Amino acid sequence: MKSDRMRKDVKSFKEVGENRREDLKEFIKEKDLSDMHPSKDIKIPIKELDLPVFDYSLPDQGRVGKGEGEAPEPGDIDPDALPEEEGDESSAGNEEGEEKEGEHYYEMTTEEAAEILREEIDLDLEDKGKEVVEEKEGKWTDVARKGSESNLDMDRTFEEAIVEFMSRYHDENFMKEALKVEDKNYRDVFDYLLKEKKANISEKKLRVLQERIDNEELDKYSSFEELEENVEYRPVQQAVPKAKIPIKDEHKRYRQPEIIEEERNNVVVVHILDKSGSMGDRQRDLVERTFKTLDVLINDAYEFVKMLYITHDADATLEDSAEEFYNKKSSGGTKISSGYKKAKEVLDSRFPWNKWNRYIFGAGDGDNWSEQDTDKVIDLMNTTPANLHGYVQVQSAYGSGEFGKDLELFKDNGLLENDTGIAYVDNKEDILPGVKEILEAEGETTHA
Amino acid sequence: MLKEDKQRLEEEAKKVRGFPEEAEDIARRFGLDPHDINYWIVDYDTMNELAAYQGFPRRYHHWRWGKEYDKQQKKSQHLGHRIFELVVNNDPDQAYLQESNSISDQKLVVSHVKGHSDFFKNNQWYDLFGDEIEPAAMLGRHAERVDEYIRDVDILREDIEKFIDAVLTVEDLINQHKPPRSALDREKDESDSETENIREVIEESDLDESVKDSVFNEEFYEKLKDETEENNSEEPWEDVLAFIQEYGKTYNEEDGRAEEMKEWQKDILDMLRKEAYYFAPQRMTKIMNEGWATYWHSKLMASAGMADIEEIIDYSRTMANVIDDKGQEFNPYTLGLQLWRYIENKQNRREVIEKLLQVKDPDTGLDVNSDNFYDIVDFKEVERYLQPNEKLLKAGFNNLEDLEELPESHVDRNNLEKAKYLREILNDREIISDAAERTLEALEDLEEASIQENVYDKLGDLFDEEILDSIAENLVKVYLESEEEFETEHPFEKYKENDIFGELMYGQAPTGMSEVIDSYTDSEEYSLKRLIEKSVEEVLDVDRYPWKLLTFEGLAEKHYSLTQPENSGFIESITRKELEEIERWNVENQSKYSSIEEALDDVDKTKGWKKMREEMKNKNDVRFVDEYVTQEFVEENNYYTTEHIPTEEGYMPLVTSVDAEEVKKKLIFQLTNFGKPTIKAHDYNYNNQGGLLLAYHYNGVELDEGQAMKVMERVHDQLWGRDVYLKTIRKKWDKEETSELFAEKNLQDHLDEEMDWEGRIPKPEEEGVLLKYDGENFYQEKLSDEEVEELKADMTDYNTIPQEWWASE
Repeated sequence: MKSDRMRKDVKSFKEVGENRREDLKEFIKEKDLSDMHPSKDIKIPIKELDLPVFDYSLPDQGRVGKGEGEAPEPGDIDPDALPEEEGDESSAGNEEGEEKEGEHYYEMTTEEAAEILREEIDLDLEDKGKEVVEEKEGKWTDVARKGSESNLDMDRTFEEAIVEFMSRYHDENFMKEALKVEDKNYRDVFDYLLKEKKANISEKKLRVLQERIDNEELDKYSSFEELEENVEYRPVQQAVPKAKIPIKDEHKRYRQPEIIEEERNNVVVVHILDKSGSMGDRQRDLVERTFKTLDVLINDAYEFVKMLYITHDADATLEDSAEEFYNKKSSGGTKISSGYKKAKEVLDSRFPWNKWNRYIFGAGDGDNWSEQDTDKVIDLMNTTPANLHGYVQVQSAYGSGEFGKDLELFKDNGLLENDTGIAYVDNKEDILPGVKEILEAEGETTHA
Repeated sequence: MLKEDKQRLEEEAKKVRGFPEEAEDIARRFGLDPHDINYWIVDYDTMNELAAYQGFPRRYHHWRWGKEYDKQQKKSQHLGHRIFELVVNNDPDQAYLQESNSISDQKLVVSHVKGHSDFFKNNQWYDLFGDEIEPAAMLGRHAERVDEYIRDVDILREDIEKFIDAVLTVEDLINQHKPPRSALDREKDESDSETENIREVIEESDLDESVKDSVFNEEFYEKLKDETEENNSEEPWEDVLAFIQEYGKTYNEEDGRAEEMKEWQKDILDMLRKEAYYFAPQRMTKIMNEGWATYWHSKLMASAGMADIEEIIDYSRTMANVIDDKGQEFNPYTLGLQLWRYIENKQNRREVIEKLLQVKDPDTGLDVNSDNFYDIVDFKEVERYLQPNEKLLKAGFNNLEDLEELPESHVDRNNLEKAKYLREILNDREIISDAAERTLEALEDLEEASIQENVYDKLGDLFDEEILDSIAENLVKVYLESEEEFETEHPFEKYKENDIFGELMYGQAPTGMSEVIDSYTDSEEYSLKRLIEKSVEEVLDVDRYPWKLLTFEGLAEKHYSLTQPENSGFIESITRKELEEIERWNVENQSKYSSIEEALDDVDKTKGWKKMREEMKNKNDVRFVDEYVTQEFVEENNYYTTEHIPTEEGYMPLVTSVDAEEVKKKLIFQLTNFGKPTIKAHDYNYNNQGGLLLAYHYNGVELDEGQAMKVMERVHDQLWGRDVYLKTIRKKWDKEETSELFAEKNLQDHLDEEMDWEGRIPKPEEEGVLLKYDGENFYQEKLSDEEVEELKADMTDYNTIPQEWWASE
């Protein structure tokens, strides 16, 4: 929980260059933290803002490099050269920003769109007060034995190596000496070691050791007490800090998202997307932006969020990741009901309504196979209880279908059992109003 | 804070309870001298917030803290980054522990922070900021005052923010090598003290009194003072913030004129300058300070039995993390640690060699000297002989008598006596049985009085108070353990007043308490006798903490660096040059010892640590790196330097050197003046129109003029109100020529041929420029060589292109 003081400072930072302090706008840069992340395919956009100071020209400073294995020869071209753009002298200016804006701006939009919406609509998403134990993907703290090298978790790998070292550790010298106690055979010694918690060695190994001891040495000590007086046992604590601990392949551990079980305040968000041929890149992009903005807002309101992705043409598939979801294409026909049928199956079996908040968002160009199929969809929507249903209709190159309009008709005639919001997104400007439209539908219908 | 939260943090705090005291004890034995430290357990968000505020709970309102917090938050959320340590120099210092950290991490931070605190207290650069002893209070006051200005309806909030931003663009421009006295005082003080110095010299001289009266009279001193003052005021000011305080104005946009700064502006300027001075020493000593803390925490944690067995795993990996410098040019923790270890070894070696050079070899009858050194000295023998005394390594209850034989200075006599007393009790079966019986009696009377009172009453004539308290404490623990309210994961936990433990110990016993303890201690694995033994042991557990029997000298013997396996061969590796240098200092003491053993007996093993301490007190990063980065160090890390040579197609990144001196030069460049260019204020009335003249004191590296201009705009509008000038030096490269060179290099690479750079690179022309900003436009004017001569006067050139590569002019 951040303090009021910090809350204000964060707010004033977020506002800089947006609705105030135009003078600082030129110093705002968008950065990505993800190069510090073990898997590079996620983006962690961050707004960076540095005030100008008297500084050296970046390229003219030169640098100290650190060679991998060996340093390059003087006179070589530095293999880790300064990236071209950073070397640009006009580091204070930002003229080239505009060109890239299209791609670059993208991730910020969802975040910021959400930010704007948060203030605009009173997003009082209703927690149904469910008693829920949920599986949630946590941070990258769970560890697997297999994985890609980029996910190698050195901490845990090192730990495994130490654990193995410790489990195998025994003070061999002490063991040997123990076997020289008068009238004690290896079994006695084993018991003694066990009792003193100095074991970590098998009886068999002790027997082998015993066989190697000279006869005349066998009565070197009269008792275990005498042994202890003369031979110091070197506990593992002392050995570890100084030991060279070998790291082997079997020690390697890789990061994977941890699964944690948590209670209450859980939400599942189902995304259903028409992947048929009429949905082109532009349409998909608009859907992605709209869905992601919705996701950010829901993410904000609930503690544990599970995202499900379903694509469909005439049949539906549950996708593993958002990436697959947004990029899947097919040339088949469109049966919207297939997507909702899949959603119902998955929800009923894994996310029961008495334990989960549910949000179900569909998207497509509004084209459907038949009116009968649309009836089927309505039926499925009515039998799949959710906090909110939403449908995003985008205009496709072939024009738009009737599905959105049909839904509205059902809604206006009170034939939809659940809160349902419908939005038409034909270009980027429509995203925010559309998101608002959908979310504001929550709470319209009173549930029995 | 929510009640559950508070409880949770209190629970967490219990886990580390007792540890700071032990850490303090051993730190002092190691010769550290830290401030008192308050430890705070804080949750995730609070930690991020504190870090964003640079460790303090309250800072003035500004968006940049919001920025830091936001970044920190995203890093911990998406990347699992956590803040390793956070400590604030405040006497008592404030250290923050994050609640979810493992117990070993908490111990590690506690130990690490001891090192920092020692550094804060003893490094001389921190003394400069002497007049403000309570930084947290100061920063809190500043926050308060800025709050007041924000609330003031006559001041626009945005104006305050803009003003702060403007000051922040020049906050590096202070003179961090001097104390931050007020601007005017600075000038006066300096001329005063110079005059005073001269007066002192003259008055103490043997000059005839009459001469003193007639020539060196008050008039003379007055005149002298005037002269020095005048001279001084013409010197450029390194403390540009003070200069602005003294002569700055602000720009009134409406009438387009300069006007006096408002009170609030002056106030904020003054506050921010003070803050810049407060933070300066930490920025000047980052490498030393982190290295110092890391060196000592590793001594505390690993070598002295402070970590429990399962914690060692944890500790080892945190440690591996801290000093992992993959992907960084250099990590201050690693670089600092390596350098401190190097200093320790080097000084210890010097001591050994000095002693060896005083030996008259009995076999050959020769004095050991740098010529016969390697022939006479058997280094394996030397290393073996220097091994710490066995008896000292085995310190513990079983070896107390052995310790008596050690040199007086190595052993903590008080604790030795105490340990003997405890052992005597432990060996006395009768007294233990007797005590166990009486403890039973004490339990029976629990309805009447508290555990502590009963134990005192029944066992008072057997033991001293420390043991009695320990017994009472253990009884309470047994009770809590059997009630399962108390987890004993952490053996160093000591519950004291203010919690359930205190109530049970000193208060009315709950019904049935005696039965619970009774039946528990009746069980097989636990008997009252064992409880008594344990209680006695715990008063001074020299088996667990053998260092409690040792002094600084004893510990120096135990931890002597040259006999550590990783340093084997270090003595032998001394260079001939260093050997001869030691020899020169040593001429008078030849033939002092008649054998190598005798000489080695005389080796002072504390020399390494003492030298480290001396350097810790006096140096800053620049001087530290300068003195201790060596060729070996550079080679081991494969360091090299690169310069970017401008061509028509962009920059040609050319590797220029792998030489230690050059690498060091670049490292020092990055550390000097916080890695920022030196800008001084030269004139407050430039062109006779009140212009501010700033000048970049050139060191071979160009300014980023784009940024510099943005700074000038802000200085003009907010801090000066009139024209702002900047003298700088530009490099003009013959890009046509360099482009051809680059092409040639590419071709050579393609053909797998070596490129010979000798005499090839055209030297850039260095051209003086004067930039002017008048509130609307920038103007520039070329300067003659004479006009910028002064800026290049004491120039250290940080460029690393080898002399012979330059084309002759």
